[in-house]
Amino acid sequence: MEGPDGFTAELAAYGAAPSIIERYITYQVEVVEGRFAGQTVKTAVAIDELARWPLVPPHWIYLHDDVNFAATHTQVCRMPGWIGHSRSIVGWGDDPEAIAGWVAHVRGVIGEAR
Amino acid sequence: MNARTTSVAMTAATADTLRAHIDRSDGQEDICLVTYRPSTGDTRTTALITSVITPEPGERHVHGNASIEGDYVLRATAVAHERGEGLALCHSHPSSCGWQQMSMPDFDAESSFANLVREVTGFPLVGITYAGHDQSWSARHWDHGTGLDVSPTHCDNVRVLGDRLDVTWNNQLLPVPTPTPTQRRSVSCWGPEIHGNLVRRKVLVIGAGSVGLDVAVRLAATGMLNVGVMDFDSVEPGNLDRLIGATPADAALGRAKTEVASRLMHTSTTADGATFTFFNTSVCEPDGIAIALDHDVIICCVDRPWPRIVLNQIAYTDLVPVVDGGISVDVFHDGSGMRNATWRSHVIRPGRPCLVCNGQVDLSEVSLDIQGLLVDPEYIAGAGRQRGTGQNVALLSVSAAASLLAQFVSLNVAPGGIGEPGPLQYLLSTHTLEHLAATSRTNCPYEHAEATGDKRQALTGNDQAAEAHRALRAVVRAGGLTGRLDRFATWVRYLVDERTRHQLHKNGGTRGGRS
Repeated sequence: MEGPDGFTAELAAYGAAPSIIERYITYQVEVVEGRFAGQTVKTAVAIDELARWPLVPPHWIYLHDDVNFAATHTQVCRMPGWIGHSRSIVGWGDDPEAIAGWVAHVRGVIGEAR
Repeated sequence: MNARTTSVAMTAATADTLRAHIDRSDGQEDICLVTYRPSTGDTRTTALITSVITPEPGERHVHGNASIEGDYVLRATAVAHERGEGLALCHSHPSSCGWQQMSMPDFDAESSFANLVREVTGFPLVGITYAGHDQSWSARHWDHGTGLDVSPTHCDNVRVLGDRLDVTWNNQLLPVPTPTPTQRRSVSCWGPEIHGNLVRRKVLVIGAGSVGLDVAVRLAATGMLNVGVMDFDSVEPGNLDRLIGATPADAALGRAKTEVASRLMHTSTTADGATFTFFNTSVCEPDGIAIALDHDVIICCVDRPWPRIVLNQIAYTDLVPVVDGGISVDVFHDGSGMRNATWRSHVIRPGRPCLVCNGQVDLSEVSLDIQGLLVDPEYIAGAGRQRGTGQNVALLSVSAAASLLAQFVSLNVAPGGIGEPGPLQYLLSTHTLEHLAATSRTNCPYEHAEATGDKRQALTGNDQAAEAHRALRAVVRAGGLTGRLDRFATWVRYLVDERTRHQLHKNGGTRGGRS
């Protein structure tokens, strides 16, 4: 499966508990370092960015507004209390499982949160 | 009369596998079934050969000629149906050469299965003939009629893609062109037979900028008969130092770059009856990719990541080789000089690393390009990115064009029997030509989607940049004379400003420049 449906199915199989809210897919990531080490953090991706999944990865990572970074570029999110953070993923397409690569990227980003 | 044209394409590896079954050492004819996926362009449908289903004992009989049992057809049709693919019947004419016409037994054999295969698979039967003497292929799609009253659309060509692109032409549909007297020296480079084969190939140039315009004009001058140029952009004053042949009037009137390409190509062509087609669209749009699929070779002369990744995809999914490359000028940050310049070129096709694997496209940039963020000043400033300065100069862009065209010649003509050489990089500072050792990633999703055809995942969408440029031109055109005069006035103001700056500089002035 490809696109948003494929992304959701892969997240579910990965155990990330995806659900759809408005035009976003929310899911949870277990963080291993930084301020949220050992915690499960909720994050989201805009469905509009998933049309070409997994050939083209999303760019914006949406997080609750209590997740802050030393430096970040943001955009508004239609879900109240959420903010989109601009983050490019490096080396996309190297992982045998796209979803594992994506979650690792998001985990790394959240690991840098203050 | 079917307005659509048809074709068959396969990789050289698939052709080798197929040949191993039907090219017999005892000189007898043989027969084999293969599966295919359709690749549907704007005007052409191509059958992309995906697998060879060899006969089990007793399923085919060789007796000088060859025949097959209905069980073989049913088994292969079921396999094709299960995969959602079509079925092709391939047979050999061991001592023949060139495009093969159908004998009555050939016609009877294929027509007798045509209806059954289409009913079960949903795709027309494709008939393929292999001529063993010169290893040429011919083909047809059985896409007309029902029951026993069926007839084929004969293909324009059959393409085999490896380190070179081998094309067998249907000379009845597309006759060998007679070289014109003005082509004497071009034809003498490779001989009339290769020339006749080469110039019939449909080539699409994507991007009519400093590199693409040069490439397109040279294709025309060589005598290529079918060249398309795709670009949605307009000529602007800042283009004139590199768009050789574009005029101040083109910039003043905001003419489409394709209009300039049309003018230059029509004045440069040496072919009789050449067909040049111009598309003010983007290959990132659904219409654009459909147009691209009508072509045998694409030359990519754009640097945006989105169109390049779309082309990267169809090089594998639809077996349309893409000659890609570009130029990068490296300058000192204080603007005091040039550090280096490099130009790269490579052919993207099955068997070679894709644009992501060879480091030419960063997929995270594609996402930004799709959202229009790479040209969004607010995003660029907010994300702390450097706005592309786009250094380029006519003195060097010609080298990038030359590198692309050299790859094109190797792919299509194979000088000395050697096809395209793989990724190349030329370093200006040391004048070094490097063969880059790029390798494919194990899990590359682009390369793994070989011959997917219409089942490829859509990477196209609304290209905001293309829409904006077309809308701007439409406004200018709707403004008629007034709109054009406005643009012309803008151009005059630009010239006056430039002249003033120049005078100030000459006089030792300091307005906006180094003294």
